[in-house]
Amino acid sequence: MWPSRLLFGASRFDLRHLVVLAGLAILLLVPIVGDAYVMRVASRIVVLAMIAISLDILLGYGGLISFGHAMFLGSGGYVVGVLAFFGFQNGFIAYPAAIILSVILAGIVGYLVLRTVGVYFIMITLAFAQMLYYVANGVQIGEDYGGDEGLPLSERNPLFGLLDFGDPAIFHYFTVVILGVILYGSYRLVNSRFGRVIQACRDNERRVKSLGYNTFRYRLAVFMISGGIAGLAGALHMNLQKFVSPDELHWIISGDLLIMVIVGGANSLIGPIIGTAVFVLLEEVISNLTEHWMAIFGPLLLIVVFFGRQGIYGLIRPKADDG
Amino acid sequence: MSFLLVAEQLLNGVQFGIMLFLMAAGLTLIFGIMDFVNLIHGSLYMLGGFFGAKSIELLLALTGWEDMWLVTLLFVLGVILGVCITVIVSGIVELTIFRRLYSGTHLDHVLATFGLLLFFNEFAKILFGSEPMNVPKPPTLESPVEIIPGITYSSYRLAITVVGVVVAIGLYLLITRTRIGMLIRAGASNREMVTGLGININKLYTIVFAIGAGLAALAGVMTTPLTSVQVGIGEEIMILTFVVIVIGGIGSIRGAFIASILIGIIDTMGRFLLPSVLGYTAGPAVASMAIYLAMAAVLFFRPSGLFAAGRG
Repeated sequence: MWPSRLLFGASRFDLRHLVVLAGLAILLLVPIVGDAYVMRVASRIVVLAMIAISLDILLGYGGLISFGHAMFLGSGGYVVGVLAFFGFQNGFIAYPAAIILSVILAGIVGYLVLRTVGVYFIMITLAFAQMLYYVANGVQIGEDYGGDEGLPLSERNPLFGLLDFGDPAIFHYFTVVILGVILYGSYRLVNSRFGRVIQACRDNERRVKSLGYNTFRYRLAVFMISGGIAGLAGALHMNLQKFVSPDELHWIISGDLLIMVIVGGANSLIGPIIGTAVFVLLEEVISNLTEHWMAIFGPLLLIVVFFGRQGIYGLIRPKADDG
Repeated sequence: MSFLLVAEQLLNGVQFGIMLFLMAAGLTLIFGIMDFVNLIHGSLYMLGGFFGAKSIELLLALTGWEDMWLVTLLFVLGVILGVCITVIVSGIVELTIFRRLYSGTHLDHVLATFGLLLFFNEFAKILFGSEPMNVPKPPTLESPVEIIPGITYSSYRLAITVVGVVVAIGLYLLITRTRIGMLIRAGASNREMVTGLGININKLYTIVFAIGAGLAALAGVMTTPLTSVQVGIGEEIMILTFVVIVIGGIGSIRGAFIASILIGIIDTMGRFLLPSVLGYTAGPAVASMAIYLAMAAVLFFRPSGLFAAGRG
């Protein structure tokens, strides 16, 4: 049971190990036992979980409530889409390009939004995401592409034919591996010296400043890292759906991502994954029962706020442990 | 492009700016005084539009009046009814839900109000349907008027601009000349001090929230004859309102007023002028971006807005 031990550093067995192992088992078994629909839902959870983790690095560890994280879901997707339109299908070009451009975008947006805190930060991240939503809506490529029509992807970005992504099972395993890499990298990040400074900025910025740290630079760096991870998730999301449209950038998506993180449990790395799974499954289940699923889901959020502050992960985390 | 057309668009920009101000004035106080992240302000705009439109429709159907002045009277009554119902709904929400949230974090506010926003959208869909709902302009305000010799303008737009300006002046007097206004200003500058002086801050919060809800609903009803009301209409204007508040500075009514007019004009003129300059594909995109670029510019030089409250 090394993967969970690595994450929690606990030698004692607790509920978290069970949850992580069960989750991993389900994700690995889905292509064998599930049909195409189940597998698409599972892949969607894996890809969205990546972006939820990236948001939680900002929100749970950095204390920065970004209400515009959908902008990176869009930027990653659109980089893949535009490259494919101009004939660059190779995944070794598309994925790095999606990451790099998302990091640059995060650098520019972060430079402006991180000058503010609190309510301002929430509103301004939302406003910048909305601006990109309008850009995606307005910019046309050629006659029929872009704009509110979105961009298609004829086939998933091949990696020199190493993996056959035409098979959804192989693509699913690919996303699971990437999620594992992101999870491990994020774990190393938040427990590094850099991660400690970020968390200290969240708890008491003035004190960190007086210790001689340039808190703005640290926050900008974490904003860019988060944007890069989210951009990769966006590129994979585009590959999964073979389609990207301004809908990916809609501000409701940013809100959904916040819900995934908070419902699952912010300030943990497993929480966002659980939250994503619960959100996507609830969406599938309730939206099948009634078209007015938001009328049920909205009040559910209120219940979470009033009674479940720690999220689902808080329920399974041992009391004494805050790791 | 004639001068007349530009003048008309400029007036439309001012009219839109006044509607934005009605939204922003309440919201900037809610942010500033209550330090509360409120995502349902757009929902109140939408609900105001729906309740108002339905009231007008029902009043017209019930009375069957056709005299143009009587119909206008019914229109005004419908507007008032729409605003009142929305204020009551928002009061219930404030007393039962928001009151428990003030002590929570911003994250709690975002999550709870986002949930309420989703709920109100579905609520409106169930109650009023997902089709856009329209209300005819009052017959007395249907034909354009000549504002200065040679220039005619929609009398309805002119009327709602005047109503908006009157409300703005009333709000200004309320804020600067009354005891409650003094408390609101004090709350925006230093909340702890107000509570420390023994003021019932909960009562103040309820009043501020009710004023904000009423103004948002008023903007929603008055805009309905121009654009019709439908589910989701409030969110777009709410995000614009956020931009206005960021530019004007949280908690500042004066900042909200100037920023509203600015954004109203930039948005309207951008949509009008840029397509003819940049072509019909890039033009609208750049026009939509223009206000956000303005916001970015303000942020770059004045991170806490043009007129942040509490800074003198």
